[in-house]
Order: sequence, then C-alpha cells, then structure tokens
Amino acid sequence: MSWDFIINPFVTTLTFLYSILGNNVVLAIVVFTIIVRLLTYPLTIQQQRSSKAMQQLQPELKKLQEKHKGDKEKIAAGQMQLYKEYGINPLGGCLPMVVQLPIMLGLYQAIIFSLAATPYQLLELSGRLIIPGLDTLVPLQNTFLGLNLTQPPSPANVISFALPVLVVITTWLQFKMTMPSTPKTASADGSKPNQAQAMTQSMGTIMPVMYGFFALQFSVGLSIYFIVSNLVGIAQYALIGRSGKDKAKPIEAAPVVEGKSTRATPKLPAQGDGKARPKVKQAPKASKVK
Amino acid sequence: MKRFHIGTPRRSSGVVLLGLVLLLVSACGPTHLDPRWSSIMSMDGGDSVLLAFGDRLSLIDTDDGTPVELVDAEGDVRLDDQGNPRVWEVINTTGGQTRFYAAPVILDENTLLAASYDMRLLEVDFPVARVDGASAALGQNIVASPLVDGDFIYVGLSDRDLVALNADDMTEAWRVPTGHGVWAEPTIVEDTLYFTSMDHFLYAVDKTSGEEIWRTNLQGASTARPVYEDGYLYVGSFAKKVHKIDAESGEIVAEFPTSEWVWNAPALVDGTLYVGDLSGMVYAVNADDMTADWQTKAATRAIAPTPLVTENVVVVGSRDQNVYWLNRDSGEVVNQKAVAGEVLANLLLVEPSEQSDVQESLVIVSTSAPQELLVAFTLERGQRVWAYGR
Repeated sequence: MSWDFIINPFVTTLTFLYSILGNNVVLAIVVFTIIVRLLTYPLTIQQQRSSKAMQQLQPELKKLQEKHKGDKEKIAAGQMQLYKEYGINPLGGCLPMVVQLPIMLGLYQAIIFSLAATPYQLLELSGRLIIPGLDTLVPLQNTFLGLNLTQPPSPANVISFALPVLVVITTWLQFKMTMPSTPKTASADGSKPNQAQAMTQSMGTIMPVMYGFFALQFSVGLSIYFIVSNLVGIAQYALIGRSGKDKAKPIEAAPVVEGKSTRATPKLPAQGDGKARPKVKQAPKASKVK
Repeated sequence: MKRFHIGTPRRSSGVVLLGLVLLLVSACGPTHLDPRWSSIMSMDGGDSVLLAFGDRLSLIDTDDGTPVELVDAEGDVRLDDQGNPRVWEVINTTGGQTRFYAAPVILDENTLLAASYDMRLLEVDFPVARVDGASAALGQNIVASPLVDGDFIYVGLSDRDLVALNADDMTEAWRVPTGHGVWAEPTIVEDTLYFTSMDHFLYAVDKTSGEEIWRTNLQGASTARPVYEDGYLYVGSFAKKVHKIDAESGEIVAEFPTSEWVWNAPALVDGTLYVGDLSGMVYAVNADDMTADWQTKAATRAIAPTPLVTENVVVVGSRDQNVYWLNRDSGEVVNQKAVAGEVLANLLLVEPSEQSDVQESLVIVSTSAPQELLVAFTLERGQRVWAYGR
C-alpha cells in the first residue's frame, strides 16, 4: 500500500514548519505532532467514550458469563443482544484507532524522509515537497543539543539512551490511560482468567517494550516524535477522563434471560461532557423472569 | 458447524492493537531498512567487476558473471577448510551499520580502500581478499567514495566536514568544516580540491593545506561530484539545476534548469553534458551556452546514476527497474530492458581488450535486488548476457 497521499502532505507541512520555526527540526516535529494529535482529537474522544461505555457494561457481561457458564455461543449471542440494546458498536473503540493509524504512520514516515539519514531516504524525499521552494531547505538540520537526530542512540552520547527510556514510560502511561482498568473476570467457561483481559495486559507490556526497542534501533528524531505523541495522548486522555469521571458509573447488573435484560429501558449514565450518551436505538420491551 | 463469533470489545481492541503493531512494522520496515545500495567498479582492465553490496565486496568475472576464484602467488586456486575453491569475497564482519554506499577505490597496487557507512575506511588486501585494518574511526558515517591523491586520502563525512587523511598512516591531516554532510567524491584539478556539500555550497580548497579558496552557494544541496573541463566546473544540485561555474573565481556563469533534483554528476562528452534527474528526465546540454540539445522523459521514476555515454547511445538506469538506451543525437528511447531491482549506482562499460575476455562491449548494471545484483547487457542490442545474484 502506498502511503504517499498521506506522507507527501506531511513531509511538506513538516518542512514548512521547519522553515517558519527557525530551522529547528525538533520544534517542527513537536508542533506538527501536536497539530496532528489535535486534529484527530474527535476520534480520540470517540474511542475513549466507546471504551468507557464498554467498561460500564461489564457487570451485565459478567452476569451473562455466569449464567451461561461454558456455553460460548449463548454468551456471544447474549453479548450481541446487550450491545444492540444499549446501542453500542462493539468495534466503536477500535475503528477510531484504525482511522488514526495511517495518520500516525504517515507522520512517522514523513519524519524519516525529512531527516534522511541515508542516500535511499534522501532519494525518497525527492518529489514529495508539494510547495515549490521548499527544496532549498533540504536536507533539514539534523542535530539538536549535540544529538544527531538521524542516528540511533549510541554510547558516544549517553544522553541519547534517555530517550528510549522515556519512550517506554510514556507509551506505558498512555496505554494505561487508553485501557481503563476493569475488575478481573473469569473466562466463559470459568476455568481460566478472561482471555481478552490477559491479551490486554500482554499488550500493555508488549507495546512499551516494542516502542522502546524501536527507539533504540531507529533514529533519535523518531524517539522525539514517539515521546511528544505519547505526552499529547496522555494529556488528551486525562482531559477526557477528568470531564467524565464523576458521572461515569457502571450499569447495575440485572438478571438476564436468554440474552435480554429484565429492565425496561436500559440507559447508560451520562459521560464526558454529558452530551455523549450512547444512543439507544429502541427500548426493548420488558420481560419477566421465569 | 463452526461459527465465527465476534468477541468482546476488549478482545477486539487486542486484535486491533496487534494489527497496529503488525502494520507499524510492515509500514515502517521498508523505510527504515534501506534496500541495500550496490556499487561497482571495473578491475583488471575490465576483466572483472568489484561489487560492493550490503556488508560485502565480491569480485565477478565480466565474461560470464561468475565469482572470481582466489588464487595464490603461483596462480593456484586457494582452497577453504573443506577443500573447496575459495572465491574472492570480503565480508565486513565488524557489525554495526555495515553497508557500502560507495564503490571502493584503489589505494595502491595491492590495496583497495572501501568506505563503509559505519564510519570506517577499510584497507583491503586485494591478493588475499582480506581486510588488513581499518582506519581510526572517523566518527561519522561515510556515504561518498574517498579520493586518493598523492599523500592524502580525502573523505567526505556524512554529517559534516571533509577530512584529509595522511595516506601512509591514515591519521587526520586537516579538515574543511562544512555546514552539512559531504555525500559526493571530490574532484582535483591541479592544486585545487573541489567538492560539494549538502549545506548548498561548492567548495574550492587548496589540496595540500585545506585552505579555502572560494565557496559558492548553489541554492540547493548537492550529492554530485563536480566535473571539470576547460576552466569550468559543472555540477547538479537539489535546486533543480545544473550549474556552470568558473573554476578560478567560483562565479556561476550559467545554469540549466531541470525538472527535479539532480543526484549525480553529469557525463561530459565532446562538449555536451548528459544528465538525468529524479523525475526520470534525461537531458543533453550544450556545455558552452548551457542550452538543451534535447530532453527526453525516459523513465517513470528517478534516474540517479550518471548516464553512460558511448559513440551512439546514452544508457541510463532508473528506480523504475529499467535500463534505457537513448539515441545520442536525438534523445529518442531506442531500447528498454527490465531488471529485478532499482538501479541506483553508476553503470559500467566493459569493452573487449587484452585484459578482458568479453567478445562484445557490455553494459554492466547493478541493482538493489539480491537475486540480480549485476546484469550484463550487450551495448548495441541490449541483449542480456548474464546476471549475478547472491
């Protein structure tokens, strides 16, 4: 897949920012990362709200798992019924991430091309600058505080190793904020810990380590991007979390019959600024407990 | 009957995160992991070709594209521990970012000098195919070929500066500070060393002391070696121009505009500059008044190497994985041959001679594809003669 339709405008914008920010490539990366994160903020909000809605549904899901212990098909059907009732898209938390992904990858590659540590990367930069005249800025000045931004951390500059550490810490922090903690539940058959939770926990370990590894292998300039991006993400999630903290309460678990709630009209508590109440498409009719 | 279940959203998130990781790796991998850049030089009067690719140097017979066997002083083939014939190959096993972006140069009768990207110059004992020693670490990556001249070895450094090393002990004699890296081999004319830098300047310095004579702003970075003839220097730049510069004063006397950046040096033959740019254009420019004799959109992607000019044709290689033959008088594309990888380095012309066994003039092209690192075509018909891969 060619990412040129994203990379080229990004490379151009990054170079333009470099030109108006005193030919400071680090400042250009920081400002550009913040701009991109702000532009994708609505997606971040949507993802976080969806994630919270799912969190609040946990008691209901737990009840469902207990009722149909060992019957995966019934649990799955019940879950789908619950999502339908509460108007939740099970992929609602993931789709914004998928949309943001190419943007982040484009930014990532734009930085690589702009810094151009090798002849091949410099060759790749040609033809990507959409605004005429920016060619004269190439190659961007690639040193900052004695660090060569095009090179991976090296023993020659011990400070450079602080960056991968910061990458690991900020990635972990952001991950923790993206994935709010939930009570531990058993798997459908009750024999082992919930598989999804285990996977989430694993990802919480793998992601920071993986990004830390990238930061060790790739150029220092990318580490700066990772750190800034994570910090902005942390700030965004903190803002979202703070605004919805007082109002977000889990849904009270109710007896479940064949995947249907016994309550008349389930409603999720107001979240965030109070406007983002998940839509309830149609109130299901009340049913009696047999 | 098995059914596919949509898992919990947490599970979905996990799957998406895993996908994110895979996408990140797949999308970023090709960018970070450079396709290796192959470079070639002619050896033994065209009898063999020295290929620099990845972490190793290989010697290939131009007659049939097979690795050259290593022989001892008596002419007997050297054998390895298992009794198999040894081929001429040097593997740089020092680790790190071992890559060769530039072709080695000849230091003396038995020694090659290979600039490795990982900050070192390697002295290669040619008869035994062994790295004899490395210079003191230069502290920066090296992209350009070094230039050996008399008592000095001139090396452009990737981040900034050009250094002159004493040829006898490889110690630094002096350096010319630059604002950015030097990615092209210098040119020496009499007592003056000319070189371009990514800092947009063309420098002229005294070749023995490094004292600056003049510097000229090209308005764009340059990765091209200056070409000299009759008192003028010709050099391409990222300002999308080929500049004609008075070698005495450094004054730009004329410029020829191109469609894209010019990566490499022009070929100057019989008063005409032949140059390719990164848009795939090829130009024939009158060196006297810097006007175009012809210009042709030959390739769909960049033409990075210097065009190979012969009596009748101009041969260029492109990143679009093709080699093009153009009529030298009109610029018309008269032949086109596909290769397996991008053509990034200069092409070689091997002609029949006493040293070489080739029966017909060959154009040897190096590509970025490991399975086809070298391809030999006949000059006249563009017929593929052999290919070499690892």
